[in-house]
Amino acid sequence: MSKQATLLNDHQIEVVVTKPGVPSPSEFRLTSKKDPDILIPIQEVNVIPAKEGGLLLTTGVKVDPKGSYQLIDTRTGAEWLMAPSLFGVVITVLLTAALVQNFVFTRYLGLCVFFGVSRKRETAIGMGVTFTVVGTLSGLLAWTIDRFVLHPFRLHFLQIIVFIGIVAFLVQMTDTILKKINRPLHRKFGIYVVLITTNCIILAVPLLNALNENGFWESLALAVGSGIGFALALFLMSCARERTDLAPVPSVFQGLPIAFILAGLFALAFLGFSGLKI
Amino acid sequence: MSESPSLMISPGPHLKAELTTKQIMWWVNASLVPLFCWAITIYGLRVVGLLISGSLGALVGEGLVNYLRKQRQTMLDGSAVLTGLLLVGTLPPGMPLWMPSVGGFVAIVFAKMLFGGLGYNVFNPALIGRAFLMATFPLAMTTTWLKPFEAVTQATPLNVWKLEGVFFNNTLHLFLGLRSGSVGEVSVLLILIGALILLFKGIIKLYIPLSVLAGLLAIAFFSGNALFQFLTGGLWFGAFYMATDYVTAPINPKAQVIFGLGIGILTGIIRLWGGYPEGICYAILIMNAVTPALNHWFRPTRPEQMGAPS
Repeated sequence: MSKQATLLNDHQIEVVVTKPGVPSPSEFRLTSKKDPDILIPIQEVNVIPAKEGGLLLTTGVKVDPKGSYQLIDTRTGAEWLMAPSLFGVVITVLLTAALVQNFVFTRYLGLCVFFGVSRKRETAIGMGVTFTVVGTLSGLLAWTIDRFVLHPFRLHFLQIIVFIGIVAFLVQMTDTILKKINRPLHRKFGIYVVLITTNCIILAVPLLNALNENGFWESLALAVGSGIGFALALFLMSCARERTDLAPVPSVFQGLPIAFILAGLFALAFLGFSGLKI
Repeated sequence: MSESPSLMISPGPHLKAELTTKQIMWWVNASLVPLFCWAITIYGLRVVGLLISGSLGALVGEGLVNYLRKQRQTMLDGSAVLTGLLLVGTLPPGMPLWMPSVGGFVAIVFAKMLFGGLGYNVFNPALIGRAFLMATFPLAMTTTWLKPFEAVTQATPLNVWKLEGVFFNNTLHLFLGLRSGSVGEVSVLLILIGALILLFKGIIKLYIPLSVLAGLLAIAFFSGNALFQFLTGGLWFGAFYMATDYVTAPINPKAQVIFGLGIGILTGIIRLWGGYPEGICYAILIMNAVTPALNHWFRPTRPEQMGAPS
């Protein structure tokens, strides 16, 4: 039942009831989760003609679209809980970063690395995995410093230089630690770790987090999502490029030019995700 | 072992097809005829103009690239005409007559010829043409649908559902094609007849179309009216004519089922939660992008890798 009531904006609630007829506003009980004793007045109840049993409630006072509220239909005793679940928010941010606003195909970021390592499937997978790991770490570190150092001291103007420093520090640290601890792994992924510093997505993630004032979990979701999206783009592109490498492409278009056209067609295909709401 | 003296030794592949590529292409073109005749009947003679415009753009693109590359002219192998016709099949019938030419030209040149011509393209050219037109002329692509037998515009059933939440109430009309929609997509019955021709000639197999339909049905139950979702939009046209393209679909039957299910599910997701009323075009393009990976995962393995004694 909990899914059939939604907060549309700061004064309207859409709800689907099972009992026919138009109830009077006083037959609904709306309370905030924070103060369950205080009734929030409902001014109007209107029928939504397109939906069976759909009602539009207008509240007397403004409510917080991101808050948690409970609605009770006193005629049937049905209860609805309206809350943006943390899980839902995290999944939305993750999928948005990975697919809907894929950093490569819709924001056109990280293209130099994208074209550089998407020639072979193996390098694409290596880069994708390494980037996701390092990008997540740097996103979280940047969020921590932004929240607990830059924000309290109003040092926002230092964001770019601090974030670049964090990325450089983290990349160097990962490289050194990997070299000392796991030599074979370093031999496999070391080159990509260094290349990550040239990838603009890794700077875009903390800047976006700071701009949207994302919380911890949202920042984590954006960092992981951007990594997954980049890895996905790299992998699909590498498979397609291995195919075009064998094709009789016109000589002037061989190599990078056809890869750019291919990336353009990928972007055209990824347009299908635009406007996706989960 | 030498029971047959006339044993011929030759390197693979050993399969011999009855039809040449050229014959296949013209057969697919022929199977589209009932669809387009129906479209001319209900939307008027301007559909003929659209068809000519689309094919002309595609033919010019193909001819031009072949001429510039100084290679054998492939304009008459039927594939360029097919791309043009399929492209027009996905366009609204009331759009300006010159637009399909642009779409056909872009489809052939950028999605096919630059990759080396027939057999090397990664994405379905006709759908790239449609996606290009959608991104370039969004207004003409979304507002020029015509009401059957009347020269007035009318939103498609999917548009009406998406914007107002109202379902098209006449299932028989959906099946027969008495509704507004893209040129080639309206009549499920005639698409089935065309598909039967292709099946009978052995040109398409049912793995992909059936899994596309199954994938969409799985999502359509969330929309409250699965039958409406099942019979409307470009689903059938896409499933039988677009997704079954040899070049951009995977080779292995198992991979084809995954490919088809992916298209169906993505179509449903875009319809129900996405920004567009119809998602089959983008769903197929996205799965086209996954096809090289699917081909890699389902490539034939050596016997010892499959557990056979070495």
